[in-house]
Amino acid sequence: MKEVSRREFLKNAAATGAALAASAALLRPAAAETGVIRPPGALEKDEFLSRCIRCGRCGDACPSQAIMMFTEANGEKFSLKPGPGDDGTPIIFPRQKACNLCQKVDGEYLRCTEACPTGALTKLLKSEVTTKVKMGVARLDKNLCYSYNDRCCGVCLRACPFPGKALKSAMHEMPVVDPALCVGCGLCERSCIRYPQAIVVVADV
Amino acid sequence: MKSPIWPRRRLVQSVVLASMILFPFISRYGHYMWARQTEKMLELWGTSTAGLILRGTDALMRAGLPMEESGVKGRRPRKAVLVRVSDYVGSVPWSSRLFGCSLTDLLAAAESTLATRSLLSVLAAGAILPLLATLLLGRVYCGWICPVGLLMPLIRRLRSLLAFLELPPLDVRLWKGNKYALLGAAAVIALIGGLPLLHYIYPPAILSREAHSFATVLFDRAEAGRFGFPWGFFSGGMIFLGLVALVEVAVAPGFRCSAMCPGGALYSALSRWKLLRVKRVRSACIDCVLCDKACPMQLQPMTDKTGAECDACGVCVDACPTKALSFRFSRTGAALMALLCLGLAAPARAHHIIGIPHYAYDKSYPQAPVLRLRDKIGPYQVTLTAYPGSPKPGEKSEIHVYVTDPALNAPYEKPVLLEAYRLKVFGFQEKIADAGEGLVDMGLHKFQVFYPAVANYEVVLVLPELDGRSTLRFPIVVGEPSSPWRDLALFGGSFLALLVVVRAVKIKRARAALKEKAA
Repeated sequence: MKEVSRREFLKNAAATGAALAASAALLRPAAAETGVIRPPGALEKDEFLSRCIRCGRCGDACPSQAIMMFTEANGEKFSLKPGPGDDGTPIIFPRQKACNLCQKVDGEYLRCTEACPTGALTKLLKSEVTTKVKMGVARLDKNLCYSYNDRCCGVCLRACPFPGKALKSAMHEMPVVDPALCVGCGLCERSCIRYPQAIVVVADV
Repeated sequence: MKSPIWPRRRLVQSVVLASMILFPFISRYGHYMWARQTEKMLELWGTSTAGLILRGTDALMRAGLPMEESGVKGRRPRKAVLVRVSDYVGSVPWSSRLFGCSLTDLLAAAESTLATRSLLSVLAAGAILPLLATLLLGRVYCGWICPVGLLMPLIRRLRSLLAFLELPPLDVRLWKGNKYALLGAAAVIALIGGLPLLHYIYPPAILSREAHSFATVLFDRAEAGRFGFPWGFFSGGMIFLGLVALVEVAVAPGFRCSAMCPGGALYSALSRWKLLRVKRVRSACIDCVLCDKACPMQLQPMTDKTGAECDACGVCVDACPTKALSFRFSRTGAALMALLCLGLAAPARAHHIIGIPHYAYDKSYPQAPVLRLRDKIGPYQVTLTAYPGSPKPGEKSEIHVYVTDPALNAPYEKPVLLEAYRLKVFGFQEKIADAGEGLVDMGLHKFQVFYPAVANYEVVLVLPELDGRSTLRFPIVVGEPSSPWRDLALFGGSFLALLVVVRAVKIKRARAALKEKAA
């Protein structure tokens, strides 16, 4: 091995450190800004990005294929752009495929949370869905919703996994969201027949 | 050592690479199995690339199972296949679940732990086998499992080609401590900034992501009725790897693994007290230096200077003409290995998963083609949806525009006009639809746009009664337009190949002429 003087070593180390520090400084704020919908059991924004190793195992495990790995290409359809730290992290576009909370598969746990090798998604029992899952919250635009405009629809009420709790039905199939009980699964958004959808899930609660 | 080592190593590396490409397809096949859509997909896709891959995966997963489900003969087996599918998850070199046993790369585990300053039991469980293997065997991961090892002979070929073309490549040797500096700096950044960065430059992570992205893009496109090869799947990571390979070919052979790889640094650091080492029988050694020359890590096995950097690739053992070099285990090592094997043999089987997802993968399901673009103009939030979201050429597309003021929660009631442009190469564009008002219905502006050909389009919203910046642009992609960059790369690549051939022929002729002259 080539002998290296202390000065050269320090120079090398300093240069590498500076480059990495600069990239970290550039990446950090951008990564924290995007309010995207993460799989169930995801840690808080910053902690999630620290913990996640971008391996894609949650996406492999998801039985309804709702979990995508965030890239520029798949965010394009929804005007969402990954910040530099968001590349390759799991994300759900409910309009494309919504999380059905593993209702129709066997097993005790939510499958993505069970697959996560790092604990970026906290392992959750299916029975804990109502209390511990908070992917986002459904928001209704009454100007768009058919049921609020003299046409009975009620499709979202039938898609909701917690009907009568998270999504209550008022007169003439008018949906009413209970933000405290809504877990943000996005099944209502997926099922909405209006273009653009009258009910959408937003991540920043 | 009688038989050479390299064929075995090549085999292991090839199996790892094949599994890396195959696993994403297997998990996607599992999705179709869950949804009971496999038969339909096989029928729809026929003999396209995606169809063939699905057929192959299907054959592989059904191998040895009778054509029988729940006692009904002739039906495609489902439950048994689903159990099998859950044995192959993730990507072997980065993070995977094999037969119910979680395996996570040590670099990933270390960075994730540092970034959050806590070690969770799931993470520790996945990292324990790789950690044990490294402590006992050293950098075997680098030599035998990391798929980058398969690139090495290719790079050597290219270098000899360059030499033949009389463009002798440089042979720069970088200082090996660089990789430790990189690892240390990244560790400090993870600890302070909380952001893991190394997966952007660590090849197993990049490759596993690209493999997943390839499978996803290929099958997604096939579901949408597009069967060509998905050129657009690769990302910046692949370009980075390409550049590194280029530098290896032209400037510094083997610098990536020996001087730059942060994973290699971690594995080297951990294998300080490893039990598997290359040993030299001093009496048999004839000091020929062949092993030193052959070592891809630029170590000197001839003078026993291998140490922690050695990745147990066995090239020196193969190269030794007198068989003075061989791998040796200490006896304690063998005992510990036996323990490790026991641990490997008794993992918990992944449990049984049976069920039906919510949605069928059905073309006729009307909401499948998805496009919802958003933008802001003045105080207004604009949402644009198109149906179909990815139209075919010659198809009419319904565009709904919803302009609303989120503060007042009231829709915009003044006129909204829509124009459409076809984007051509290098910023030129052609108008395909003049500005026109749409049908106003329940607060929505509804337009119909007809796209004549495969291309990138842009629909432009004009809000004439809103002051200032009153237009908005939304991209629409029809079919799969080729990108000028791809054409340029293809052209450049073929031109380069032509140059190489021409030069090679010239040199060959010149040498032949010289020989004739001498004769």
